[in-house]
Amino acid sequence: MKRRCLGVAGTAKNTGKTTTLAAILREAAAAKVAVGVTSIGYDGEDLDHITGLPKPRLLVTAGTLVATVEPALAGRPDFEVLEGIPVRTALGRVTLARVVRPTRVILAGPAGAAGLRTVLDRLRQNGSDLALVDGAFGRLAPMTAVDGLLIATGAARRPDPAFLAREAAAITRLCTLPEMPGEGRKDLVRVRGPVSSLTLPYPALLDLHWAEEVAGRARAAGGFPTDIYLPGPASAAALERLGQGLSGIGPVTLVFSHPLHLLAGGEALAVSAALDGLESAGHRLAVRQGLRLLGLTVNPYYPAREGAVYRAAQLDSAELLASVRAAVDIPVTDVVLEGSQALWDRIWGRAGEEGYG
Amino acid sequence: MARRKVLLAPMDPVHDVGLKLVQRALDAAGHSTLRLPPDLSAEEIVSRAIEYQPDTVLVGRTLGYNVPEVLARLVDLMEAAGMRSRVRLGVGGMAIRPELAAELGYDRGFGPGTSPEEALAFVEGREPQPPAAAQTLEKPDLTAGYGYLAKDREVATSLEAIATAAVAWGKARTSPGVERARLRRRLLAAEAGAGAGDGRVPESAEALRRAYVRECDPPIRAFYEGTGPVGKTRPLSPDEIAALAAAADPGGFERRRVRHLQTRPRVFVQYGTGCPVMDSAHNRVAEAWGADGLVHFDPSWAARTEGLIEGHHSHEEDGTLLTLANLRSIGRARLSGTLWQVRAHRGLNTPEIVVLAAAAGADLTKVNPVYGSLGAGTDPERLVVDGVECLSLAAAAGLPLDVVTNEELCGVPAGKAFAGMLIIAAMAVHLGGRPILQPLFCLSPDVMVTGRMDDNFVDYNMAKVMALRQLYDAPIWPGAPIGFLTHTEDRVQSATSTALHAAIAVSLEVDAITIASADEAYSGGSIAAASRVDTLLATAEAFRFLGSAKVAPTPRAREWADELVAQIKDTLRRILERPSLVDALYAGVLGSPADGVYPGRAGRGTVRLR
Repeated sequence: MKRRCLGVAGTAKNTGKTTTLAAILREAAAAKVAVGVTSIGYDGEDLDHITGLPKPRLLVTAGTLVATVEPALAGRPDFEVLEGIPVRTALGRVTLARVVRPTRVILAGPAGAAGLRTVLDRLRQNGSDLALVDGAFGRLAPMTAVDGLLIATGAARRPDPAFLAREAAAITRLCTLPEMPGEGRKDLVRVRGPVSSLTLPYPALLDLHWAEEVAGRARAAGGFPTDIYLPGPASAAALERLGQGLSGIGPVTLVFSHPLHLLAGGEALAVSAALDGLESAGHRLAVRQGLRLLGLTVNPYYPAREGAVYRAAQLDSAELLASVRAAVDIPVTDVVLEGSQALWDRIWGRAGEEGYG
Repeated sequence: MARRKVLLAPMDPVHDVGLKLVQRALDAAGHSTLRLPPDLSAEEIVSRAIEYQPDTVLVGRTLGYNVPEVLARLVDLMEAAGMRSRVRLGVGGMAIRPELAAELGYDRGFGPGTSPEEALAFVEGREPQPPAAAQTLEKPDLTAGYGYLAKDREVATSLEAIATAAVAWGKARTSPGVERARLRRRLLAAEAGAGAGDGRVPESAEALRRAYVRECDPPIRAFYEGTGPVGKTRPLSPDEIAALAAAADPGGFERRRVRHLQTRPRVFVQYGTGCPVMDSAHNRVAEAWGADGLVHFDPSWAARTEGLIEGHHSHEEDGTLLTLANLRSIGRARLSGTLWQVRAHRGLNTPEIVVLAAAAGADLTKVNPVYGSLGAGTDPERLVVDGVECLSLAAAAGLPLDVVTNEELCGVPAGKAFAGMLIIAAMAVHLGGRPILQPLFCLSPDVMVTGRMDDNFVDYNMAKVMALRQLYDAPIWPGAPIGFLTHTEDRVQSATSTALHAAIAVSLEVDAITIASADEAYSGGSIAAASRVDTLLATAEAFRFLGSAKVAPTPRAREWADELVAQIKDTLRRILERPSLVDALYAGVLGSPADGVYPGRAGRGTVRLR
């Protein structure tokens, strides 16, 4: 059986990451799957510390592995502490523990991908068949460490079903760019031509200046590059500038490091539109490391700000679900409206099937 | 320590003071810093970070709408740019908490009150050094350096005559309160397995307790005989007693400083929720916010009843029962440097309270039979007899005591109240004690009638201290609490008034003050712990505001101080015309029905000659 690491990220805070994660935890418990759980932020508290509104609780069953910070385990006899993990967070060191009896958990884990890889390794080594990673805010970049991703979107991102549908389409498009494996270093742009290749010290962020620099070097290198590898995030404006700089040069394959790095570079709709421009100019797009996007979850709830306080508000659930579902060709679920069985089947598989992986 | 490169990024459009302070500390420590202009975008900060190649990026931002998203986006960009694993990220701002920093993806969050040292420690990858001064928990002697000499010849002569006669008068008499105190001392010695200090074999605790109970009122007798609890009380549960034990001084407790540059005044707060467990929690809050001392308040009904019960007990209304078990637990729960006062200034059990206070390890007590009999309902004769015993016991136990003048609140003019205070102080000194003068900083009925505070609250309060210093060399502890009768139901107003009165006190360099909580005057019952913090913070702010500067009174303060001196002398002369201090109390020389006070009746007729 393949061991899996599934991330649950969101497009914004309060888009339903915790609700989705809680639903998966329930399904996994029912299926008696050995689960490990951690977070790239902080979750599980009673009240949201920004809006002051109640938050969904994270319940874990006996045997679940939990990687969270030491203070969240202190004085909790419902956890058996297994080992410390050499990853520090703003709340203390990450510690691995096993749940002794069903209980609530506060999750706080590694903020970055490197720390997350370390924690996921420890969860696997200690017997976790399915490691779940709770996201935080709209932070996506650390999720490069997982092998499957669910993205939660919803009214908390913007209470506008039409916008959410368009953005969901853009996210899906970026996350499903074709994979072109190869070598690539984080600190080097590689412009490869038919007879020679050129590497540049890379700023790790493609801004306007570097977009011109890369395009200029590509032209100076003799033109006709076959591919350009860009190892970091790129803003929409920089991608447009790069497209302008490459005009007159034959079709190029632009290889980005990871879909989530593209999403980190700017608003998904704007980045997607910029990529449209490059494609329409004849260029091809790929990513060095692909992403297994298992689906989207949608959440009609949102905290509506009224002066200095927030109140709970909600869009029409069915309308939101239908809008997003119509815009993308990957599974979309509202786990509160529809339950989580279908979502679980995609993750773990039905009887006789393997799920993703 | 390796030199670190630190990029400081103020993401706020305006405010970057915090980061400037941090930069100064980092530069002084030899690190290399670059502070960016304010209000750059996340992309611009990451671009500059790529150029600068820092070890640490510190971001400053006041939270506002969508700001958490912006802060989270910066972290995501750093991650996507491949910098996150080699650059440590810290975020600071007024609304930043560790949980929010963790959720946003930062390695450390710096909230309000963060010191530059904390940021420096983060950059250097070590734990911050605790500020040495804030951790110093020395317990000061408020009476050190005072000679207890009357500075005015007439006042010295009058006090000597009145105090000597009053002490002799009291020592020739006894009361149930005196007898119980003596029995309690023997009982404590017997229970400790010791003799009464005279080499004899230990007495029978049971026999002593039976003798004690015979001197008590029926409700207290019923308690000891097991025929009924005392009204509105209940024994603490084992869990509550365990909680009290667990509240013992944790050591190394980090507390704020309430004073700025000043060494005086020490700041006392009052407690007495009725529940010793709650008291301990409230006291820890007060200590955390810088309180130097705690004053125990007991129920007023207990003062009108002969005898005290034993054991851990809770009281369902305000005032925490005076039992040795309660006191010991509350006393042990305080920090080692915290002063603790147990009051014995009114009621029928004052000598025994001093015995319990000393046995429980209190640092101070409070005695004034003049106030206790005129303003608090105890018979003057009884309270003077008990008061002499209290003063003797306090002196023997080495307990300094304050002499409170709260009869001013009933309408007695300050001059009369001060005469009574100086007499009790002189009696204490006569018996070998160390008294502390406690004038009120208050808007008293007499002041309202005479209009002395129509213009300001500064002159008359300062005049009181000036007058006392002119007459007597003793420590001064305005109270209790300062700003009495100036507080309203508005917590901001109450805290501000307390702070302004504290500003007067610090300008006068008095030895201590007692402050109320911001809801004390109008709470209608329980006091909220947050209200304690209100006035401690406000007082600290007043001390910070003034530093070594001072509040200056108008020339009226000098005039009123002279007027007070004259009133005190006149009152002392009139007392000398009476057969005794007790007679003067009944006759209204130290406060009359016309002023608003009446001799108390509790315990009347219980005094007998030895």
